[in-house]
Amino acid sequence: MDKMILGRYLPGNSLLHRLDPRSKLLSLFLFIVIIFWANNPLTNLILFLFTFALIRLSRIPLTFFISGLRAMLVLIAFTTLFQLFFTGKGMILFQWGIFRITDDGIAQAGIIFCRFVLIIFFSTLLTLTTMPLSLADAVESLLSPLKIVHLPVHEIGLMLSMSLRFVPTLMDDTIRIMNAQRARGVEFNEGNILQKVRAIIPILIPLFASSFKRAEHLATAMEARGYQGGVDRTRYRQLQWQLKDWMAMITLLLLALVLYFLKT
Amino acid sequence: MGITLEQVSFTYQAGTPFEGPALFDINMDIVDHSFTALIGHTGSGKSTVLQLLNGLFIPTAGKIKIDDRVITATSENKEIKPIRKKVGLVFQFAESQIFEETVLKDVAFAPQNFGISKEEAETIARKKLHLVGISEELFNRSPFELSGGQMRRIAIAGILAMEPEILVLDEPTAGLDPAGRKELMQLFKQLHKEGMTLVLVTHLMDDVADFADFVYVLERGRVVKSGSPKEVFQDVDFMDSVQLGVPKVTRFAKGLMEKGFKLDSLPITIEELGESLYG
Repeated sequence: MDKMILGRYLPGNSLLHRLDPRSKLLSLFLFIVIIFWANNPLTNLILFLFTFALIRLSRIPLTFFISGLRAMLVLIAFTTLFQLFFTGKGMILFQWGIFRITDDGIAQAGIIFCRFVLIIFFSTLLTLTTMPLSLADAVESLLSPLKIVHLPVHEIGLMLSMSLRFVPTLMDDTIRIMNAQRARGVEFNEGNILQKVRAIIPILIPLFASSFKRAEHLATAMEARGYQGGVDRTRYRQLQWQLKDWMAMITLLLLALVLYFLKT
Repeated sequence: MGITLEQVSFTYQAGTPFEGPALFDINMDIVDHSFTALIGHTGSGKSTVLQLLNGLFIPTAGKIKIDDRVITATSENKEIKPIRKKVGLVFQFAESQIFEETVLKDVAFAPQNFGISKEEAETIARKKLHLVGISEELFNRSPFELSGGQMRRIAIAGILAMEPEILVLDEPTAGLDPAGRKELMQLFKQLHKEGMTLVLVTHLMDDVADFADFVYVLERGRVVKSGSPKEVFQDVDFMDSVQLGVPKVTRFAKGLMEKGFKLDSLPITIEELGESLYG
């Protein structure tokens, strides 16, 4: 559980850490669009070089990204194999029943694999260098034009930042309860599937009980302090769009342009 | 059955950038049938020590001898499980471990994990519930309907149901009212008298003076002082410097000495103070 890397923030002071969370979030969206243009070796190579350059810039060890990859390994392997075996077109290199490997299939599988790795690396880079709360602020700020159509933007932002805020708390709770149950002789990673599922009940019920209690306390505490959402609240954490954020956006746009011309 | 810690160090999430060293070179001896208190400021490593005592954590370096077993950095979970039955650990706010539909079922949960039959586990559970002062008519109620104090007792009964030889308590009375606190402490005293070895983590120096026969003072992951409560509380300035303080009686006696009273040593309980004042 402690080794989970997905969605974690690693404090630091690199250029990437200091970027405005909005520019980082927009970059991620843009990057995901760009990834779909990368359909030949050259474009993929460019994107990988770009991503590795950013990782160097963030001064976060590469092992972190690899471990993020490991968590998604099953999904990646499954999709890649699917592409490999079931892409019908192209020259057939090997066939066994409905399974056939073609040169197109190999190319497709390679591209899908690259896409997964790039998306995971890039999004891990975002979460590792951005505080979850700033990220929630960024979502709220980026959604704010939708206030015109009466989208409760502030409430969405609040819900987002509250749930992000409580992820580590719930994590601690889970570990605490697991340890308490292990002290009562529960073994979590042993036995057959049925026993493993049954071992989850002593964690889930206390976790639900404590989460409801916590939510109630939080609501009371907010009401006691006269909280009212939306209307003209000032904020403690101000987002500031700076020159480096423009630079980041321009870099991404240039990358998009290069990819657009190099794609096949 | 005792527990010995030899040069034990522990690091949280060792080998990752989130690494956090918590304990350094701890030597500790929890003697059979003793009542040992572990005191220290928040974050001093008390709770980490407790989880080492029943094998929930495995030391990063050093060894822990429990009974005839030795836990080192390379120990495997399988060989540790029997230790968990012998060393019952009551966590802080233990009521958060309760999950069963009825009080009786929850208390009977732990023994069944160690291979005891359901019927036998329920017999033990009844006995332990009586011991902690939960009355018969609550046995088939949902524990979630009961008060916080009752839930705490049920949780403690749930650990006692494993019939451990050593009971490890992490601030068992935190958040309870004075009457409930006193009753629980009396229960622990009685268990100790009947031969159980107890380890208590607490912030209440009065409890240390009243119940413990040996104290370890922890500060930033190291044992900085140890001895009988009487010895440890003589050094009032030191105890203040680690932000723990001394029992009220000791502080009072120190005030008396500063005003000119002659005492051989600082008393730690009210009885001792009476004796030294009136002989």
